[in-house]
Amino acid sequence: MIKIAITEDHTIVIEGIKTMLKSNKDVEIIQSFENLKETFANLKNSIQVLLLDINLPDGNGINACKELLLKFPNLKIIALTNFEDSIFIKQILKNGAMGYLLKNTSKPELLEAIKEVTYGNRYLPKKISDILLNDSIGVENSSFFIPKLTTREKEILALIIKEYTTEEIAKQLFVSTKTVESHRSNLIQKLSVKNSAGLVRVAFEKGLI
Amino acid sequence: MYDFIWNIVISYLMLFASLSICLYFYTGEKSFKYYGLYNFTIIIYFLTKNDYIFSLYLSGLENIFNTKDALNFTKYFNWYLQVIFYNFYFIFSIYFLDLEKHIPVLSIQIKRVLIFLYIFFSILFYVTFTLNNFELYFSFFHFLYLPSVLILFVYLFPIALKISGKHKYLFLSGLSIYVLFALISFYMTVLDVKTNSIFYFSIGIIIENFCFALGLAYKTKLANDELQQAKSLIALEKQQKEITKLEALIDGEENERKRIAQELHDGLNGDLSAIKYRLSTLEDSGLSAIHNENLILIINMVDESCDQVRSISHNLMPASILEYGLVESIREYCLKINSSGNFKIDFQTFGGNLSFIKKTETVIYRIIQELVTNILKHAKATEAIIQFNHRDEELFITVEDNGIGFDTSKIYEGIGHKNIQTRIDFLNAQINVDSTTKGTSYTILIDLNKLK
Repeated sequence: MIKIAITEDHTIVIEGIKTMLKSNKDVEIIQSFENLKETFANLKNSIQVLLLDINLPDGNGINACKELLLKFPNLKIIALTNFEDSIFIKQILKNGAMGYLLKNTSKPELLEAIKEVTYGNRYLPKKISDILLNDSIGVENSSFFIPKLTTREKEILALIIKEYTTEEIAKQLFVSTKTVESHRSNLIQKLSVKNSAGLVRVAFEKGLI
Repeated sequence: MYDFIWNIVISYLMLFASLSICLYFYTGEKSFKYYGLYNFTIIIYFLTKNDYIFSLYLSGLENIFNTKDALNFTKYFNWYLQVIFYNFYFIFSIYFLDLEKHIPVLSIQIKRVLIFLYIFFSILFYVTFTLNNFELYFSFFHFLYLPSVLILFVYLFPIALKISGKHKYLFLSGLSIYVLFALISFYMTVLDVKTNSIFYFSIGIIIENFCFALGLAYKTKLANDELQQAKSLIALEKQQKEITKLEALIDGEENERKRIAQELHDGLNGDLSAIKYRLSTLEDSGLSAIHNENLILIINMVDESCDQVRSISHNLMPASILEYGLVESIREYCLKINSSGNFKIDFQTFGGNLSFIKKTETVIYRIIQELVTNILKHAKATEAIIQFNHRDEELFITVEDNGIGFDTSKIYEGIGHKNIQTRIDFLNAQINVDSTTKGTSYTILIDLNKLK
């Protein structure tokens, strides 16, 4: 029998989970708390798995996760929340949570998660792991990224190559000289060059035009 | 030679007089008025010092009086004129040195004294001329008028030095030159040197006039500067007020969104989850196959509702913006949109440290969100770019799509655009839209110094 506790500020959710798991012989909900303070004070050492909400009245579960694990090193924490922002998922996993479930989890999923984490495995439902995967692909993309030029920047770069002055570019594109200056500075920053001559060089080297 | 100098003096005086009167009507500065009047009386005074004009003038007078009386009248009139132009001179000085601004009560009293002297000498002029008692008239001038003016002058001079602006130095130099030349002219007369004493006197007046003209110019500049400053202050206050108003508007909106988002997220979503948990227990209660099928359908519907509520709540107020900042939230936002499939947003940032105060971040996030929503709704685009360029004190944001574009002259019609414009105004930023059939490009320039 796996001993479980829940920290969740909505009693209706706690009651729901209790009802759902009542018929199950493998897990038992021993304790429930409505805030972090109570959890820290009263969590029994015998509790194996804690279902932890992120948004709590007296703090957030992401930071609490780390501190709880310092106090209860053998505890397995599963985040049970409605947030699906990858940064939240990553942060709480970084802080030692073993699983991450959305609140509308199903009974089989919840049971599987509880079992997996007691074995010492991480458990993430497909939806959550997809979010993380998407996120990491995004990161990978930007690590070797080629700076993308906006249409305006391409236009301005083309005119710079034609040796147009700022005033001439402004006139041609119907924008203010200040805007042209900003675009030029953006290009210089983006392509990591020092001046307009550098812009022209990189434009040809990288075939940006 | 003398005529030449005389001509120059008269033309200069006329120039100064007419210029000051014009300037008085233009600027409303009273010192110009009295300066002009002073110059006009001086001109009349000088006119009698030219032989040719004097003879014309005398012949004019002879039509009224007989020759002897005409000469006599001129003698009286000359001294009377001096009372008038010294009076104007004095009042001019009061205005020029800003005495009426700093010591208004005293200035009014002094003006009363001068008006009294003027009336007194007008009567005296008439009476003594009728009685033909020049001695009496002349003594009053010397023993009443000159001492009174001199006492007032000595009394006011230190005060003026203390309270007046830099233009007092120009006044001072003008005055000293005038006094110097008046003295020279006086000694010339006393020593009976064979020069026309009026020659030195007139040179003194011309130089003095130059000094005063410069002083008046300087004063006008000061007044103008003050006006400009006041104007820009008013403009600034107005802008501040406008921003405070926008801030209240945005704050109200954000707070409301936050409240609704939280209620959806914590309340409704919790309830839906609890409903699902309770429903799940029915699965084990030996329902018939058809009921079980229905139950699974209901549970799936609850799940979908959960997803929807979650996404609505996230759109209303992304929790990550409060915790992890603008860039992370936008990245998250783009990821979410990208994961939906047929539309790709690229988010790139250039230049480090893209973190601002929370309110600014939320406002920027809302602008981006609104722009992207518009793209998704209307642009029929397949790709978009969001770029942040942060350098020095400037944040340059580009949001660009490859959609069908729109008529930028009709941009002001939607509520979406109004929301964007409110936020742009709040940031004191500029937004530019450029749209062709190949796509639309929004550029936003935020001057970070202009943020509150």
